[in-house]
Amino acid sequence: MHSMSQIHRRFQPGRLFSIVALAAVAMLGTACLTQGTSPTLEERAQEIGRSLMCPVCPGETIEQSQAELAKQMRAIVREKLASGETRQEVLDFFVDRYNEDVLAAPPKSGFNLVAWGIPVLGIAAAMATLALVLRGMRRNTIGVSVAKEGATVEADLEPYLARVDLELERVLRGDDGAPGGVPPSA
Amino acid sequence: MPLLAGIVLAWISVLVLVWPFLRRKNAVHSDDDPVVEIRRRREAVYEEARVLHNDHLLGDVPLVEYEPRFQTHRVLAAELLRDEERLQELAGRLEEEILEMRRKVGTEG
Amino acid sequence: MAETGTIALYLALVLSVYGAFGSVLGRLRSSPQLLDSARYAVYMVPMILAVATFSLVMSFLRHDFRVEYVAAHSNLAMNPEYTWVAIYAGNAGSLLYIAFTLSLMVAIMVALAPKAITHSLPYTITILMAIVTFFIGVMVALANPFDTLSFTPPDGQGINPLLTHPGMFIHPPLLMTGLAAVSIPFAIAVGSLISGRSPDGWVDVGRVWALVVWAMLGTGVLLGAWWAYTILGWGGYWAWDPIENVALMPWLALTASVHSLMVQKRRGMFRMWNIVLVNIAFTLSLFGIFINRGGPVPSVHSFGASTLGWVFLGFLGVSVLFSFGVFAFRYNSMRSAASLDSMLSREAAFLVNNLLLLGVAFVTLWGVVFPLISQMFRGVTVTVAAPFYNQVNGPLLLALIFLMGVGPLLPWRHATATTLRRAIQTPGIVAIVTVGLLLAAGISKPFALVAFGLCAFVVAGIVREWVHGTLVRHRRGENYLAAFGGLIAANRPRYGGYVAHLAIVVLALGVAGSSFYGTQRDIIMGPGDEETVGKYTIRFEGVRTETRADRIEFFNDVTVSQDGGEVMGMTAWRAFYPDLRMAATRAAIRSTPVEDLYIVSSESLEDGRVAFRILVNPLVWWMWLAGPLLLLGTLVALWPQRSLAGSPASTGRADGNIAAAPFGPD
Repeated sequence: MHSMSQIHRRFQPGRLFSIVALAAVAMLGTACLTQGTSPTLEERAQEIGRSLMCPVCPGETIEQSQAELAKQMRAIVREKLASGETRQEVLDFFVDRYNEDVLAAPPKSGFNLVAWGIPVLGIAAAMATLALVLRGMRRNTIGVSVAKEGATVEADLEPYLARVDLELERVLRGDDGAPGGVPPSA
Repeated sequence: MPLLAGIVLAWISVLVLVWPFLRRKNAVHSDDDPVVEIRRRREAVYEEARVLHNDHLLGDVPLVEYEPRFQTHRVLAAELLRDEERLQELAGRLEEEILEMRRKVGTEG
Repeated sequence: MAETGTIALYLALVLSVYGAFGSVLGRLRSSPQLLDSARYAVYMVPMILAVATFSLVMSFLRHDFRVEYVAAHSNLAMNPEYTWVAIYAGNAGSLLYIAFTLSLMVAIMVALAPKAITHSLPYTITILMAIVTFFIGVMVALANPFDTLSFTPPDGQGINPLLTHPGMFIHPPLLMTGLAAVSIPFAIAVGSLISGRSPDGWVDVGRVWALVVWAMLGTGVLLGAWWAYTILGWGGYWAWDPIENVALMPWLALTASVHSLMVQKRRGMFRMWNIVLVNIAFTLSLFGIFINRGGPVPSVHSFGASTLGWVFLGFLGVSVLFSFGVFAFRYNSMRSAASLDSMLSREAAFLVNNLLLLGVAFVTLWGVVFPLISQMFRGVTVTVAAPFYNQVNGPLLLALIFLMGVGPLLPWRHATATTLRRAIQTPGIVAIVTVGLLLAAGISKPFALVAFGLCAFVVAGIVREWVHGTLVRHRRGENYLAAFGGLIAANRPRYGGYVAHLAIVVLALGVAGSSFYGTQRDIIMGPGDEETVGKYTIRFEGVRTETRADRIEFFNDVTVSQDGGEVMGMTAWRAFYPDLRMAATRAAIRSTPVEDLYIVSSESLEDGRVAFRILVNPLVWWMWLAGPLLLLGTLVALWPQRSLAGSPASTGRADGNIAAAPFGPD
């Protein structure tokens, strides 16, 4: 630890940490702003394809499925995007034809808000509970350790202590390969 | 043929299940032996001390905390060792007394 | 042979019932003979079930198509080695497989049970034998693999072609056994609770079995992902399909369990919570078995819808009531020995870990269940698939990776802000530098950057620990290699944990790389055509056709060159099974640590052209390291620490009693 803490002392850890944290925020900001080129039509079509379920296959999106209907739907998606429709318009088109369950995830509206909301609320509630529980669990342990330090060792325990020390030494040495660090008796 | 195999298997199973009731009662199970129980607890204390020592070496536990906790383990192990040997002594003396009584009954009988 | 099988099933049923009743009766009446007898029954059950399994195997090998199960899952043309897969391909056979492997693991657990749980073992046995009884009972009453038809068909229906892949030899059995085996740590915990003795005695052996089952489930899930990637041909490895989800959920609960059991082991804390966790894991595993048996949720995986699912749901209900009852009964005996000292401690970090893991499990469960809720309340079904899970679980998983980095740096009990900052510094700087380098290299998707940065953070933290620990030991007189080896040997659970964390990191790398930077193209090529995808030039050479007894195989040969470099040949294989009207594919994958080139042929058109799907998936190669790393970590964590048996103060006789040996140096 010595060499590392020497280096740390020279570079003042506190300030370095704040600088580093700032750099992190700056970088992520840059990333968001310089967010690559906008997606191509094909990429958009694939993303929509992953958001639509194949109505005749169990549990597959139209991108995954090789069914005839899925291929037709994929073609329709590309046609519509090429003719200028937005993502929402394409999705709405299929919902009209096949009902809500053609969407791979519930839309964020109406009753389906429950789908999205419950996880968020549930986890927030759990975090709040955890925080309360943690606060309740904390107790002052200073009193306990003082009592332990003040305890005196019974006299007739001495010979047993010596034997225990030898066994402990063996246990610790067995691990280290070097003499164990049994602290001297209080 | 399958019926025969089934009967054989059933018989084997019955024999295996009935055997504990038929064999001679053996000595006290070492599981219930309180001496062994205390020894096991002492070994558990050693294991905890070992883990504590390792944590201290790795920097997880500072010296101010390590020393008193290690002492606690040490003292506890010594107490357990003392109790263990006292129990053993007691058990030994009990056995001797029983042997004595058996001999007395034998000579008088 | 089929009759032997049925007789064996009935016999095993009787034995397991006897084991269940005998065990608890022997305990309540303190009858060591009855206890022994019940234990022997536990050993006999897997042996009898082995006879039953052998009967089934022989029926397959002899093509005994009068047995309904054999006719449904094999045919004369089937390779004999697929018999293994056929055994568990259907409901009835898989029940036999589960009963056999579960009873075998139970027997092993009982045989190796340490003294610490001697008093609770009878209750544990009763619980486990009751579960085994359930599986055998379902077989005998509802799904007997040895049921015969009234006639003998000349040939069977053959095995599902999707199953004839090496991955299928391990993935389903591992998962099925894993799910069933969650009952073992559960029974150990609840047995201890019922017996009411030392509340921490079960933790050591409970942790061992929780880890074993965790490793089984984890490897099973990873194998499933690998199989999906190479076989299903859509280029992905995880679709948040309900069947995938129900295997993941108990694994998450077990992960939480394995962590917080460490706290109970070290500090006697979280006693109540660990019981709750184990209950949650077990309930989720039963839920998984229920969904697997043709529950109400549609999936690519379904064994086939059957009414069997509802029997399992009933069993799930009964066991939830049972565990809740025991918990309420023994509530007061579970006060923790110590309390939390600080919010900034490893104990608190483990609680947050539990919260996040259970959070992911809850979100996943919610997603599986919501379509049913929507149906109930609105009469309208909705689908909950990958987009939902990715959006909701994504941030939670990122938070977990962060915690994986920070948690091990926190000491037990409490950490001062200074020690924490000093510990986080080096890994933090490495993470920031990594993100900077990635940005400079053109990687700019924010989520991806966060993911990669966090992975770097975790790895840097682990490396720092290893280096620091090795240096400390080296300074005490060992050479570097011995110091490193000794470091691991002295802290096996901890370092096994580090290796397991590395497994998660490589998994995260693969997921992040392929999710954020994967590209896909669907192209149609005739023989001789060439297309460029990314830096690859792909040329379709032609297709070779081979006709087999039950299928037509298409070998689509392509040659691939990279930026005008080396040329290599790849073959995308497809097969069509006319009788089953099914197709199977094997993707051609060229995998390097940088990226995977993934070529699959989806269709052969009439004019001789072939439709291909080409994917470039970065970093997927790293994902498959997760499996071996996971297993290695588990092995290291479970490697037994040598006991004190050799020390002179405790020389003992063989039966465990101690002779009063004179004390002296050895």
